Amino acid sequence: MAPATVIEARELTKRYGRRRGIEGVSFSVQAGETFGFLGPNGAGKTTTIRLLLGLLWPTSGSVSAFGLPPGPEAMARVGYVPGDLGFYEQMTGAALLEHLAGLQRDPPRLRGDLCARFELSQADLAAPVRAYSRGMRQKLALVQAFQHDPDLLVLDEPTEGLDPLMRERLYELLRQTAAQGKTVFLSSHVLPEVERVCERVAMVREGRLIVEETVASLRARMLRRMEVVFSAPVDLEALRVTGVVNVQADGSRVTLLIRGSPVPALKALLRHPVEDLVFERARLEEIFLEHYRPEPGR
Amino acid sequence: MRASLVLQPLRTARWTLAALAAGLGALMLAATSTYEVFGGAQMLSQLLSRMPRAIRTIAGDENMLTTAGYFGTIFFHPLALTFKGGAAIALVTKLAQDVETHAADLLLSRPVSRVELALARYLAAFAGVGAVIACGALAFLAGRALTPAVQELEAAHVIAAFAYDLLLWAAITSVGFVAACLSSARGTTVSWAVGFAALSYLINFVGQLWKPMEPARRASVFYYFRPGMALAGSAPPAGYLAFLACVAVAGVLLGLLAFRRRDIAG
Repeated sequence: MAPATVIEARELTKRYGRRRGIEGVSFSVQAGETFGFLGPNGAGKTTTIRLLLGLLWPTSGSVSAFGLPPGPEAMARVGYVPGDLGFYEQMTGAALLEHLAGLQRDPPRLRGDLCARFELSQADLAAPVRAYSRGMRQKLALVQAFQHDPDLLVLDEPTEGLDPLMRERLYELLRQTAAQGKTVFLSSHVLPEVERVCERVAMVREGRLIVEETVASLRARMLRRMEVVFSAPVDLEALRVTGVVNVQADGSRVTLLIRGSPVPALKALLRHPVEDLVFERARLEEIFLEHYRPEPGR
Repeated sequence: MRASLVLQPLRTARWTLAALAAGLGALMLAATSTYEVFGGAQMLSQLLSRMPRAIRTIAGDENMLTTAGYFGTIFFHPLALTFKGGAAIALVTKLAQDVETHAADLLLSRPVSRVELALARYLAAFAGVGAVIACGALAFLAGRALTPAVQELEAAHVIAAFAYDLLLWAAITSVGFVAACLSSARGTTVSWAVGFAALSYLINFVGQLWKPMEPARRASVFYYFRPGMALAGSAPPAGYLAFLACVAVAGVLLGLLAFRRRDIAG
């Protein structure tokens, strides 16, 4: 049985008067998927999230969560970490979590575990939010989003302000969440984190969706660099096999640019005296930069 | 309707409300307990005749030579208006503040409808103003118990006058609520709410001083507020009560409609 569609956007458009928001954005996210939503600042990521949560009305098109239009019924199954943290500053962390949990239909059954995971002590929670550092606010944002064990997590820049240890704990939490069949919609411009946790990504540029693909297939389409050092001179033409699009030599060091499978190139190399070899994974960052590099004349 | 959505802004503003309620209470207690100092209607008549007309007009349509009329003017006292207006503004602008600070994002990304959130914020403002007015009423009744001359006013009529005052402030608060529902900034909402109350007061005031402006008084909510009548035990015109009730209900409905249709973007 095909997994259920959790988020579906169809030709979603939002304009703010003459100002562009997003234009004709369509994508879907399946149950159990960790979906990365990428783009530079101002590309339309937050607008898309706000449309999904019903905070904005679309100019045209539609978006749904669990087959429902944005509204209380759909939101009952959602946990949201906003990019702009709007907490009541004079409340204590504990009172804020309690207040927000009181608005949910499900009890905050994961709160204790989450506070322990993100090292929010009782003393921390007893302090007013105005005394919190940026990192502590972010931890509080994560706890309030996850505490009622929602089916869909919508995370807007969730690692903002977290130290590397806490980031690791969040990645671990996201992996566990996905393993339980929950869906994660992760908006970020921190590419290594998206690469680590997401199976599929969409990229927006100037309000339009330019890519929606699995991370693996994106990588497969990318040019990858293989640097080989030979102990004796080699015939460069013999290295131009399937997938190798360019060969450059600098003395005994040869650089191959490979698209797709590296196997034919590796087989060709076996016939030569290889002394050293460096072959890096295609990184999402390179894919991102390829898509967002300014077009000539702009 | 979740009670926590109503109670949260009240908890946040509790010290402000307490100060405003204490202020109004002190004013009412001072006004009632010092009534006999003026020496009754004859002395008041002499005092009033020496005052400039603009000062006397602050009393509005009340006949200050009667006990009910004298105490009717206390509802228009600048301090009384400040205490009640302060409570209304402190609470009714919370909705716009929630949008401005993005707190509304956290609330509306839960199973909370926009109508529920906005209505809760109006009810909190109404309850806050009601608490301040109730404190004023209690202080008035306490002063009445201490001052024999004020006991001419029946306790039930005093309560009715303060209930009438609450109706006036429900109407003023609802106009502030419309501004809060449309705005994404608390400052803007405060400006609109204060502007409405001040303009409304000014129209009523100038209309009493200057004959050609007299018909314009009907556009002011203060025109429909005659607390002296309530204190004297005669019912204010039903049309006046209906007008204030209509403004209050129309403001709330308009605000809810506006908040439901708008974009939440701080």
